[in-house]
Amino acid sequence: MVTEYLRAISPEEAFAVRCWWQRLTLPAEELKAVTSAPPWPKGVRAMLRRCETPEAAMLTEAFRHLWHRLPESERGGEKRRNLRLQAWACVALVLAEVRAESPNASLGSQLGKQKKETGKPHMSELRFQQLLTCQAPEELVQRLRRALALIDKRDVSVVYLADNIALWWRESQGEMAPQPSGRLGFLWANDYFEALSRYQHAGD
Amino acid sequence: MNLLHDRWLPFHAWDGSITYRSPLAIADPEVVDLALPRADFQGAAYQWLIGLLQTALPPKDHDDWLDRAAEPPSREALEAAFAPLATAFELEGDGPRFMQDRDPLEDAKPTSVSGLLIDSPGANGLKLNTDHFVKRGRVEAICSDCAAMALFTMQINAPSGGAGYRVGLRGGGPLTTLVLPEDAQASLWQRLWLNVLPSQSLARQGKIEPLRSDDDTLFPWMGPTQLSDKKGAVVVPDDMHALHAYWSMPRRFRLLFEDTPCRCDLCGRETARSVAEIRAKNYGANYDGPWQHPLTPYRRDPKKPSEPPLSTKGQPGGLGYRHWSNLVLDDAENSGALPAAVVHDYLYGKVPANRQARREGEAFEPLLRQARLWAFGYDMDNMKPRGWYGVEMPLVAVPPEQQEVLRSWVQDVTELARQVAWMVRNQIKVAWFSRPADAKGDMSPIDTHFYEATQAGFFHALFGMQQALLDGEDTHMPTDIAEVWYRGLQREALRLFDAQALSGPVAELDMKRVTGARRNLQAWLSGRSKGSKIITQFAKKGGFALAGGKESTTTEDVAP
Repeated sequence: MVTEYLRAISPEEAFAVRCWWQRLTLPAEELKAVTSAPPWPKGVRAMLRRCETPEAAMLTEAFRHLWHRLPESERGGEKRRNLRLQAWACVALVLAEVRAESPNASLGSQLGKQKKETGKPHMSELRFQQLLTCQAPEELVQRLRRALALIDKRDVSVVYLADNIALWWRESQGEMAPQPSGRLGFLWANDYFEALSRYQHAGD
Repeated sequence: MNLLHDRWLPFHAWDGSITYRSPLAIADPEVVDLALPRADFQGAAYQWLIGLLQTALPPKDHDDWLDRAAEPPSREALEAAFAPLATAFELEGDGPRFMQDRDPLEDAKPTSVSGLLIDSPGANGLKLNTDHFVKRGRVEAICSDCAAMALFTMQINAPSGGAGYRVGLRGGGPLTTLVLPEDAQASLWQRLWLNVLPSQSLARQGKIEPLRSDDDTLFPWMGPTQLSDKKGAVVVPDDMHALHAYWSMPRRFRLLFEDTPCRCDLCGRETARSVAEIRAKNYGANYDGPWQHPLTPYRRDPKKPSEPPLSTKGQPGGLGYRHWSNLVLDDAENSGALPAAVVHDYLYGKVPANRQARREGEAFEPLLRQARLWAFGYDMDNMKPRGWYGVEMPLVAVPPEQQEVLRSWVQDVTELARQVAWMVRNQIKVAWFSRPADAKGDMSPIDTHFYEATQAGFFHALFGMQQALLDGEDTHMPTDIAEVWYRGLQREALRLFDAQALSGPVAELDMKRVTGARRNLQAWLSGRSKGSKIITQFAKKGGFALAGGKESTTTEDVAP
């Protein structure tokens, strides 16, 4: 089931990536509740998590599972396929970190939520700003992995994460949404600062 | 040169050609428009011809008007009607000269003919070298045809220009509103005749006397100038002819014609006789008192009924639908708006008379239920022109007893737009500046942008209201019109905010401020914030529900 509103991936891709993450991550009993397919051995996820770069990720068994389950891309030549490989390798790297998901929860709003009773967000504004402006795929993966660590690697939607990363790739190729409110920077920032504004008030 | 006989006006024919002809060309059904080389001349030429028809050929009543609307006069009839006025329309010679001082002004130093053009720098501007945007030296010599129109344009628009240089009868840079047929192929006669008033519809001011071409209360250049060098020497409506407003002459000029060939700096034609210099003098007629020009909208302060009404002028920001109500619908009680007599007469005189005649079985064309309103004029800052505005808007007519309802509906939708524009501008400021209250600078382009983007929606709503009134609805604005209008404003408000505040690279934006301002705007627009009473009230009046309840912030504006 996919209920999230998607901007950069198709519903089929969203469905495939969620099933893949579930088989990769969920304990056997939990998995049974959502699918009859068996989980992959623990080592498959561990191998992927040890990878530093998208290129390394592409060589893992986990990534092969994902790539074969994605619907065939109908158009585009070598260059497009290459971009797609890289984008999904990033998705695989980031999603391998997630321990438990909440459908429909966006990354921005989770990062902006108050950390216990501290009056501060899980991710500081400065770090969040760095996440908004990262330029290279390796940097993106690194910052997203850290971001997930800050929220205990849970309570985000893997579908949103995958969609966000695909949107980041699309924008890095110069394909900006015509409406500024449809761009990744706005989506993340709006969710983050909205969550922030629930406990922090103007003047600070 | 005689302005009634000579071929001095450029006309646009049906086939697209432009030819210079005498004013008699207006009876030719092939002629569809005027084709003056400048926008202010075009507006002035319309007013010149309308004034001429109003003076020479006024309809007695609306029946008379309808007859002539159906059947233009023949060339001979026009010629006969113009003939008695001919002596007042000589531009040169030793006798009275059209719109020029009776005195040759020999003691005044000749100055450049560019002084007749409002958009030329004045003597002080030249001395101080401040002609940055309005440059000197563009116009050095012009043909007699352009000189005549320049002279008339100056006399009807004249700003006050230094000691004793008098302002025009309707103030400096007045707005003019004319009624035009919707049909782009309509003949010039139809365009002009829509703006001629039956004598009974003219404001009751001034003397109604038989027409004489040497009547200097009608054509002031026929007699000595009423000097205003002494205090209290003013020209008031009661002392002048009832049609004088069409022929007012606040400034004292003499054109100096020369037999020097030149290429006219305005129209570009080669000419044997030209005007390079003029004489000008101060202390011409000083208009005062309750003048009301039939082609200009006025405003009266409802709290001070004894004060004379003030003419509407061009304003920075231009003309748009937010002015529509005051240009078209009378509102003496609240805002004090007094639309031009010509618009009032169209709505309350011509349209009902036409409807009545058709009911009685006469074979008149239905007077277009939808005519257009052409509003134009200079935007002046004292004697400096800031710009020229000319816009056309639909003019909807509803039966007189429904005007009041239409006015209240139109005011509701305009007021909503005004408030939304204000909120968008404020939130864009919040997004742009860390201390928005202290931010300086002209933010009006944002409003202009917003009004332009919502203009088509306004006129769509207006036609809907007209239809609803004709269908018998007479209390509540139809729900679908209200809701479509509100949704359109909401959509354009967010689009404008996004374009202004959110379209740059994320690294260079203060995303906390920007997203905060956007959420404020969104909450206000959907009636969820403290200040958005206007929104909830409009929705309540219109009978529609605001977007109900919970919206996820990530998906609320994704609808295509």
